[in-house]
Amino acid sequence: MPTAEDVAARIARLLEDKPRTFYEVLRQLGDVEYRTILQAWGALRERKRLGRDAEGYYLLKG
Amino acid sequence: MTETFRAMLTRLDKDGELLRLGQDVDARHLSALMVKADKPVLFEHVRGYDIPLVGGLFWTRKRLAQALAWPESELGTRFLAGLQTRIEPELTETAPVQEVVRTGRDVDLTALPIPFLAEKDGGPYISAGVVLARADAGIVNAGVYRLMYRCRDETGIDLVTASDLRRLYEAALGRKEPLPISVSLGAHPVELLSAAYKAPPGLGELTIAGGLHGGPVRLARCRTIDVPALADAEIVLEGALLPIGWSEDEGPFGEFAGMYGDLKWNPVFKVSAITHRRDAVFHAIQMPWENAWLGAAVTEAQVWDVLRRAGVDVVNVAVTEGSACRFSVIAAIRKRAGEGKNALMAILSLPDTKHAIVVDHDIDIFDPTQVEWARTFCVQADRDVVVIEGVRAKHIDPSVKPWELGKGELPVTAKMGVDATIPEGIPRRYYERIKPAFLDEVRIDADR
Repeated sequence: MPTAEDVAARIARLLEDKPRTFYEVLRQLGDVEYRTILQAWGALRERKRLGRDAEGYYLLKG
Repeated sequence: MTETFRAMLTRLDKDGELLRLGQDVDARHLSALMVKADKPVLFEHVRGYDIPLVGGLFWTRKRLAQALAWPESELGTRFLAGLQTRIEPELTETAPVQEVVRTGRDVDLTALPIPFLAEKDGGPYISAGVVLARADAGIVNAGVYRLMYRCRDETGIDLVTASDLRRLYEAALGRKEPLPISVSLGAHPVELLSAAYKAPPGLGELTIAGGLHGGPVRLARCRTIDVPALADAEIVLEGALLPIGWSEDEGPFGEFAGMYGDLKWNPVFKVSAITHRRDAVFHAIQMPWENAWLGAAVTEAQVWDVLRRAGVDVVNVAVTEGSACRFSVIAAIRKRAGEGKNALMAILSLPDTKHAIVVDHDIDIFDPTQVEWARTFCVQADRDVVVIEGVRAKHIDPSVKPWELGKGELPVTAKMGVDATIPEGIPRRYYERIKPAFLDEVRIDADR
């Protein structure tokens, strides 16, 4: 089972690739438990890695 | 003893009005399943969580009426009648919602099955929380605000629209202080309706809820802040709105009008404690219809009230579903000269009402054909249509172009009223409806 850190790294790669909505991230991580995704998302938020573009899509900061 | 959220669930279950799903459900599918079900749903096993979730309780007018145990046709009048009785909330020392208490590093919002509701939402949302904050003169202010999950101990909160909580936050921000708030999940619909109501200054929403319940709302002292919470709720989040202003990303969010509100910049809610019942149930309000119908009862009550205060002999009031049960209102009145437009002015003075149509007392306002007949044949557009510009609006209306506003800026709109009552000076006989000859004297089955 992937850890929250593993999933945070996957989310970071997805957002580095291109800006995405939260839904698009969820769909890309269909093999991951929802709660683990929220934990990973929260970790990125705490590290201030989540930004937004002008249309509101999430992108990776820093 | 007032009915609690838990007692309401038990009642609905006993009456066969709650669908219990015992199978394991993926949390990302909760929203879609709630919408597809033909009853409110209790998801007993959400995968990865120890806490079940219930949603869809107010998805239709009928479901809201069942949850309230009120007749469907009386949502507005019952709410209005309840406003006349005021019962102050009471502090209690023992609160079921504090059977489990987690503070500090044990605060973990990911222990709650916060659902992801609509495709373009900015994240999972807590949508059913009653937010309490200390207001002036010892009153506890209550409102319902959406909270976007950010991390273990933070959510966003939408404070862009004018509200009492926004006003309190602005005052705290001016002092460079956080604003302590509690968020109670698992509030009875009476409390949700009251929290959504724009109570006049000096009157607390929970006092109104007590009047509607017929008994006091019970409050518990929070463990980490000097603000109470609903003692009989399922889950409470304690914390404070940080004094950072409208600076953090929040949204987009699928709103009660059925469209998405844009990305906004809002304050952050820092959670200092999560308390809950030992067997807590997480309550989710599914957009758009649950929020819309909660608004219907309040809007209809407000229209009844404002028309009576204006001295109008009001016969019936209804919101229209297509206006998200809020922005458009039809009222039937027993008209005296000039009262069509008097009624319009009264209705359009309400903050959310954007369009209003007033008809005569003999028009069935629940029959769109009759309403259209009145609008077609009683209205001259240059005389009977009232337009008022520069009036308070809501961001969720795309026609006010909210994306052009600055951070924290409030929108304005143009309101419209249509006086579809028989015009002054035109005898009523010209509007007499045709009636087939002998209509009352024959029955179709008598001729077989």
